[in-house]
Amino acid sequence: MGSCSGVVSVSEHSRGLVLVVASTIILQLGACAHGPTAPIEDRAKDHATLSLSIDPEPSIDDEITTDRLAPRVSSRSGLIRSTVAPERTATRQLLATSDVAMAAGNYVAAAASLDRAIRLTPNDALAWHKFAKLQFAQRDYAQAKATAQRSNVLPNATPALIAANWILIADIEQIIGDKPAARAAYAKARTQVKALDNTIGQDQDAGGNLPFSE
Amino acid sequence: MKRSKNRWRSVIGPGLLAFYTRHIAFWLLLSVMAYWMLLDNTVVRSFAERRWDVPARVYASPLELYEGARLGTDYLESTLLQLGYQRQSSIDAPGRFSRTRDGFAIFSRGHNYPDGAEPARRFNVHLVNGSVADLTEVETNKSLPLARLEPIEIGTVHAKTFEDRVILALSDTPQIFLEILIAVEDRRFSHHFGIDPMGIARAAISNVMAGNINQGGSTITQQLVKNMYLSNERSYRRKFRETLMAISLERRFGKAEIIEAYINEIFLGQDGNRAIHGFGLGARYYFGKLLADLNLAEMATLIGMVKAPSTYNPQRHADTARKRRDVVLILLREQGVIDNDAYDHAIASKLIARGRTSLRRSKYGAFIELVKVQLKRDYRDTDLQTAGLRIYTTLDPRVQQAATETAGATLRNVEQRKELEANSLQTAMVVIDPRTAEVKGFIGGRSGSGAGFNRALYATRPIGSLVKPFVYLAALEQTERFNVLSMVHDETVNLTFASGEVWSPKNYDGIAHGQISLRQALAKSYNLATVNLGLKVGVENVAARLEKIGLNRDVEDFPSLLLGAVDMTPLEVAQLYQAIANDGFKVPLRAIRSVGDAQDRILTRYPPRVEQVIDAAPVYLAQYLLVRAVSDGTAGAVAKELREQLPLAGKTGTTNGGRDSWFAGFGGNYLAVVWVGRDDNGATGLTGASGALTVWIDLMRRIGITAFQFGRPEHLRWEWVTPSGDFVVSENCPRAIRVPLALPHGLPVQRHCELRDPIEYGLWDRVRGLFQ
Repeated sequence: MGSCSGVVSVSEHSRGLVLVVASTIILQLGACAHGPTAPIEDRAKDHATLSLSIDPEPSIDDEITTDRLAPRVSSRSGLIRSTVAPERTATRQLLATSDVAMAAGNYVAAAASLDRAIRLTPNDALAWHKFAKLQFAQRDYAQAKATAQRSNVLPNATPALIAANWILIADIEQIIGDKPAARAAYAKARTQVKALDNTIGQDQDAGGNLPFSE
Repeated sequence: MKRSKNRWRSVIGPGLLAFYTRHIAFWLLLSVMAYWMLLDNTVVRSFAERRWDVPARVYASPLELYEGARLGTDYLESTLLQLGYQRQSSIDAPGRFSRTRDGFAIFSRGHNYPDGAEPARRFNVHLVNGSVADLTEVETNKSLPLARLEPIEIGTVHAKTFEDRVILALSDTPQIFLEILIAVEDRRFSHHFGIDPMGIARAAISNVMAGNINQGGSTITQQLVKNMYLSNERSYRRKFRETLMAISLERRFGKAEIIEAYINEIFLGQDGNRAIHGFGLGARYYFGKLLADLNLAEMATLIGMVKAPSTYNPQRHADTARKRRDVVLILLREQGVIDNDAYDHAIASKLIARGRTSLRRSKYGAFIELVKVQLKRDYRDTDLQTAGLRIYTTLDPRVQQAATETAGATLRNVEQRKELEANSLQTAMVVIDPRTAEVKGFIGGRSGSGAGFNRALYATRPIGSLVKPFVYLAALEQTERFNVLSMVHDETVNLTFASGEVWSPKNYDGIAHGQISLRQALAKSYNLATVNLGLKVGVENVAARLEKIGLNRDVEDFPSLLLGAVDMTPLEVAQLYQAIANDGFKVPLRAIRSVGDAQDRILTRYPPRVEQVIDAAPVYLAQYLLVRAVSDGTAGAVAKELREQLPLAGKTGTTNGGRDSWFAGFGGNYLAVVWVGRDDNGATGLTGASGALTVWIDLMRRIGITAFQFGRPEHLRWEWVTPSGDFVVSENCPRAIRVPLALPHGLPVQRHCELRDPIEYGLWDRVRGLFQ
């Protein structure tokens, strides 16, 4: 899983690769969030220009006293987990197990771990994303698309993850043969990534190297 | 007599007689040989091809232990006891646990789950404030990310013979158990050839002395043959067949194979119409333990039962069973199988059989029925009944337990409070996880027993106001026409049908409230506003929504549909609300996670299958309206009683005269639909709020509902708007309200704050808004 300062290089428009790259970014950023060299959160706070599809801190209308109604994200980029819920430890372990199984092409084992992860933390957008990728690998495209869309709407879906879901959806649309839909999906991924680009800053090339130009 | 015999002799002569005698002896021998060969053939073939009828076992979802898992001390302990774990000070073997200062030390048994084997291991669980704070493996002293206990068995799918057993391999059977078995039942088992002439002689003498047949002198092989192939009758003919067959079996098969079959075949009693076969199930049924975990006294009791299972049943006749056990123990000491110490210890121990809980059958009956419905789609009856399949279900025993208790206690309270006849109310409950659509709890009736009518699965009732969210959803999908503050007329409706019949619905309070916002209309569950809105949207559109969201039932698009004149089962209602709670993503409700074969190989998996049935943004608005129904509407009791868990969302439903009292509500982890009413469809006088809602609140308090978390739909934005939802305004405007809007919302932006009455500011403001 590349280093924090590393450059993700992609040679050309390769769809499979795009996915890999997007995933790599997620992992890389996740790792960076905890790394010593990346005080991303502070910088993120300073970015007034950042625009996400969801207003991070909407207040509540006059009649509702509780503020739990409105969505929150921990940081503007949504990349940094403010607090890792303890049950996520178990989920992360299961997701790691399923990654290993996926890499080995053992879809049955991958599915088993993913099922369990989703059961433990059904709100976890990353678990659903991985489930979508598994369905994609098994060529169950309709399911993969629906699952990726499901992942996108979950409260803890980060922009990076949403981008990865859109790329997956775009891939599916291409395979199905719906080019306009694929283009639209790539565009949505790009919107998310642009937001990331702003948060990452100049010393990191990950955003700049994304093969998203048409 | 004598004369006639002589006459025969004189006719045929002495030589001929000898000839006939030899002939008769020859033919007799020949026919016995033929008979034996026939038997031999049958026995050998059928024994070689023997296959035990093993019913499918149905398991609840296992208790998963991990840091952060919500888990109470009492619940963990009761689960361990239910699994037959022994509480001991030293946990030196699987199946034991002890209490520590702030938790438990557990030596789990492990289980071959179809999604991966769970090893037996020793670990410490540290519980703080009702959740797992820490999980440490003893061997490595490292923290354990995840562990799970064995699943609780909640039922079986039987063949008509109702034979039940837990198959044991000889290698899984403790050596001491085999020694005891042989010592008691067949001392010369390792030496004889199927029958034991010494034993028979001893039995024969004893029978002659007693004047009837009461001692068997049967070898283990003979008993096996009798159990497998012969009837229970006591006759010399049967004994003769048994002898021949036993010899055949011994001739062709080894002692190990014979005793292994015996261990699994032997009849050990009856549990209702279920026949307990084999020591594996015997140990579990009578002691709640694995055979390997039985102590000497328990083994002696179990083996003592072979002689007469119902007489020596330790659950029913504890005294007789203990006497028999002591006889066995004395015999073991005499034969030197056990030493004096072991004997003293065993004979002094109390006989503790597991309680006769047919609980598992009653408590889980309704759910098992649901499981069978799902299984029938993919499996044949014979496979389910005989192949020893393992069905891993979604049921959470904790939720089921709470729902069963709630069904009893809360309904009693409601009856007392409302002065209704005792036990007149019935109920049905469906509890699911809204994200995965797993059924966590399922109650088909008040007693919780599966014996009665399964109302959750089969009772179709008009759903009343539970339909309303779908009317509003159909409206809110037209994002530029409706938002949550759009005004609707709560005014009298008179619809004349082609038949000349006039339909004029009323509000529950009998008052028409004039112009009100959608969010108020749904929160207060106003009928007139809903009908007017529904007519604007089109009844056929509402019907189409219901079908799209997952209702597998023809819906007639009469205007009365808008007020819930459509019959559904509680299960169907749960499916519809699942799609709302899950941001518009329908996942078919599931009772089964996976099915494995007898060797724990996975046969079928049932993962969640997601389908987006409505755009997430309008669903967000519907969720918002349902949260308002709790914070500011007919479900206000929820806000009062479950203050810490807000926001929660839900909708009450009532049909005429309180024939049906409904509540469907959800938070972050659970969605539950509750129905309360009478089986004879009589009036109860209850509303959704005074009946089903009370039950729902009680249930949610017990199972620990968490706050609902809104999703983050792409096409949704929170904006400050005017009170009537006509303009987007600055948040500094004094009367501005912040609401979620589905995109495109089409609202013009108004840059000033001159907010007058919604009626008053009309066209000019709109035009001005457009240009500012």
